[in-house]
Amino acid sequence: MVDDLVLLSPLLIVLTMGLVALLVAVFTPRDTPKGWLAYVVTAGFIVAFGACVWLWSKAPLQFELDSLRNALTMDHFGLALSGIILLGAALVTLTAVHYLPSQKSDHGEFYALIAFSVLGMMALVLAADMMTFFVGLELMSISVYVLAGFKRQSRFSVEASMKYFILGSFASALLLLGISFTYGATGAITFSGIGHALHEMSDVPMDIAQFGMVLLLVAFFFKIAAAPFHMWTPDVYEGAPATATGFMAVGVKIAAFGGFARLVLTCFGDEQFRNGAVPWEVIVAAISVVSMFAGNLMALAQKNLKRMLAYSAIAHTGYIMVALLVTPIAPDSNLAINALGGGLIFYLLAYTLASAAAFGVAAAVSGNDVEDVSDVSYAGLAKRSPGLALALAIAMLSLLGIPLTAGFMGKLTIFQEVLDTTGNQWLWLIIIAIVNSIISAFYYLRVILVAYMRDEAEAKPIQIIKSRPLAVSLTAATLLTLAVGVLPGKALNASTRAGHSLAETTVPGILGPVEKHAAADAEAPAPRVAERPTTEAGAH
Amino acid sequence: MDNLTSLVAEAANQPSIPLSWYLYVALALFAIGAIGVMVRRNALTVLMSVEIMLNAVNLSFLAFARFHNDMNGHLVTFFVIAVAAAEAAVGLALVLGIFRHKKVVNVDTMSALRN
Repeated sequence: MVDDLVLLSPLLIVLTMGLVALLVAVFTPRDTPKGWLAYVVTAGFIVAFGACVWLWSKAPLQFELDSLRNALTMDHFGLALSGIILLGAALVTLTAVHYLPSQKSDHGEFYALIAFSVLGMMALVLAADMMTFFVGLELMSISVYVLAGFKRQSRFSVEASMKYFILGSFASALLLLGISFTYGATGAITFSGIGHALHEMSDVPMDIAQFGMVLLLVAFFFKIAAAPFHMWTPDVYEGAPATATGFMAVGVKIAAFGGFARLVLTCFGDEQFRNGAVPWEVIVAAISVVSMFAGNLMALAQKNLKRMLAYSAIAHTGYIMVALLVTPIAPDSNLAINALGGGLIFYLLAYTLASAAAFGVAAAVSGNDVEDVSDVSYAGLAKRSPGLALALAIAMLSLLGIPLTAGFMGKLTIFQEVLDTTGNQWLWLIIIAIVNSIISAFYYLRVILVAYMRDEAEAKPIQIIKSRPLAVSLTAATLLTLAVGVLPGKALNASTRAGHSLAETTVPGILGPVEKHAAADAEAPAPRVAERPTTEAGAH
Repeated sequence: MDNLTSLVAEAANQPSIPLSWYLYVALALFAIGAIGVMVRRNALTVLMSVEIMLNAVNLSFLAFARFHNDMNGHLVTFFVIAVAAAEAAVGLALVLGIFRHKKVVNVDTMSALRN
């Protein structure tokens, strides 16, 4: 029991921070400054990050959470993604300290909601059954709906929140129906139970399972904002307060990708679902292409920085989905796992760092209650504030994928691993992705051009928020982007290790023979094969 | 009383309603909710339609749980009810927030943001 509490410490620390922030917000006068809560919550995130690192170092992981009926899997994959989420959340929280007062929304609940949302995200990436998955997803989503509408006096913010809420709860209902039909087809609620049932194919009604899978995929595309399910993204990113938008970009996307990657690969990793009557490989590849083109082409026309970043987020969704494709089809499972770990997780890390910096700058130029972060608000930024301009430039270069930044290594790893793993099967997809990267250069470089070349006189008299915590956050994000870009070895090793761990907890035989995983890494534990729940006995 | 007992005994001997019937009802309810979300313009009606969708899912969970003779389906239903309540609370608060700005809660008028 006590051991279980130690294992859960990252989640418990975040929960405690959320409750503390909520109580402080309720029991202190509304007009007192609440910036100090940001430091408390950030400290909590950093301690939880430390706890994740500590648990990571206790490999091999064979954590059985008996007291939770194994509702969570504390494996390297989940811990790595939790770490990225905590890092991103800490960076975003620091940017809020002086931004919220400038928007006349300095309420302590903001920090409580961020903490609860992070808790939901961690539950989502660590989930081992459908129930935990659903509750984590909803805890994350509902908190983020409120964060998007946090600036109550602004029509834009409340409208953005309403749009996000309606489409988000619609997607949740689809997800639930998908869970229900998957459960109905297999009689199991744990990921491994479902995976086993669908792998063994004994008396499982395939049409019901496939219907459930399609519903789950649609909900997934909604949550990660993949085209054509992206309609809400630009409006919500534009209308929500800049820090809340930043949190959506660095948190929601990473958690949704992590959670759904585990779900899809564990439950539907079987050949029958990859290339059968309703092949999810083809669906994911098609959605990936549509997302890349829709995001990049629409972003070209945007003048508002936040709206442009929303379309850029849609395009990045497309790139990341390419990494999802490789895992199951690889003839050699080790290669596949390297591709998943090295590609997916590393790219998510790079994207988090760059987004945190970009939205930090967007927050910094929105002083004086400004909501519209268009060209004029950051024209000539280099003269007014060289540091902000540099952070913006490096973030844009990383999103574009220029060498020496983390974004370049992320793209390179995904493309290279996919080609190594699958031969030329997805060559056309890689070529499309590279063409799209070139298209994206136009709008990323345009931002840098406006910040460095435009005349300062064009700028509206906008007050740049002078904030030390914001500067710390931007510095950290920028330095990490460069450090990971120049010396990617350690981060790549870690993400590859995380990919291995996902393979160990998924159903053996789907990601290749078990022995291979064990041989590849001497430290790796014996694979933990969950028994299919004994529900069939009662089925009639 | 005897009459009732015999009725119960008779009912127990009858073949039970097949699983598929429950699923058809659940899918029909879900479709009604989904159409409501897409077609209706009043934000409150949209919220109610989402609730119908969630309840349709509850019905299918219960039917499957009974079919598999497994408690997990019942458990999920409780979680769904709790989450639906939380969603309704947030949704109503948002409707109130919209009403303060516009004095109407029509989703068509939410066009302050481009597109």
